[in-house]
Amino acid sequence: MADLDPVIHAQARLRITASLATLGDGESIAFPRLQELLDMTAGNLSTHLRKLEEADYVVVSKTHQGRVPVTYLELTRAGRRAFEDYTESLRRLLGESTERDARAHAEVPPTG
Amino acid sequence: MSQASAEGETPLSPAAALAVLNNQQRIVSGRLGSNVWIITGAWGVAWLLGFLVIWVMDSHFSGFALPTWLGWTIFGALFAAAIVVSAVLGIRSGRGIRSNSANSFTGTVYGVTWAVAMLSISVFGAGLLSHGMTTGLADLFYPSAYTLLVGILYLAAAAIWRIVQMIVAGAFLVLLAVVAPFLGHPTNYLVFGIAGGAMFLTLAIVGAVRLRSAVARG
Repeated sequence: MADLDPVIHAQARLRITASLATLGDGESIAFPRLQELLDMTAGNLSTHLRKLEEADYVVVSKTHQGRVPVTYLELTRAGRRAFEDYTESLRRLLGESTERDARAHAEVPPTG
Repeated sequence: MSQASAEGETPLSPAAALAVLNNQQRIVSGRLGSNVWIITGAWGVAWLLGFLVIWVMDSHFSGFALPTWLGWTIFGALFAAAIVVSAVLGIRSGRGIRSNSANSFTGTVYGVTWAVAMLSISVFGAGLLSHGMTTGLADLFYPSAYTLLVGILYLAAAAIWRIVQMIVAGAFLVLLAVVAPFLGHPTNYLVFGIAGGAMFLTLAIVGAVRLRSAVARG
């Protein structure tokens, strides 16, 4: 399990990252909506988001809708990439062949 | 993982992690798209009942006469209801989701294209009517012209947002639009109602079943 990204490989952060990765590229989600989708407490969500932000996987943008402050969250390019790599590592550990494996096999000529 | 343990969480095995990941993505996609089947269903009802009403009205069955104004009012009300359902549920499911300016641009241009398409058909038809298009021909022209553009716009949506289901719906509507005039009036209205309505209702049922199984697994 040495190559599983420790920033993502914890249940809460894995769920947060997976949820954010479901959104399209360039889409962000308001903190309360994300909280609702994850069914987490605001404090718990904030703690884990901070760790993802420190790793540069999540970007937090604060804005206003009228006078109400709203926080939007979105995966950075590095975050999306890290999540894809993490998913692929999991599949490889579980012995599932991945697209990348298939490409690697295709590039290596068969021996013998 | 030591870091996970330090946070008081049970370390995840790769299998458990993959299950958590898949589960979460299913829940999020399910909740964000949970209204789509209702919207599709509303369009199915509008197409089925709306066109059938016009077909009944224009078929002049003996002993049964539906006034023209009433027929088109029912038709208009059903389609207006579908538009309202789409707008309300669309806004609700997109609650708290924000797009960047590139995505917003795409969405706005696509939305305005719908308005331009629908408006241009009515002006185009008015032009033809002013130069002698008979009401008999208008009954073939309008439903096919609108359906053709709706089908093309669905195909454009399928291309922009990569939605396979919309390729099916768009291609089916284009086919329906070009075949219907050959069937003549008022049979074309019957075919729009039955085939169009059945297509939307089938997609709605498939969507509802998929959502239900996703929720059950989640």
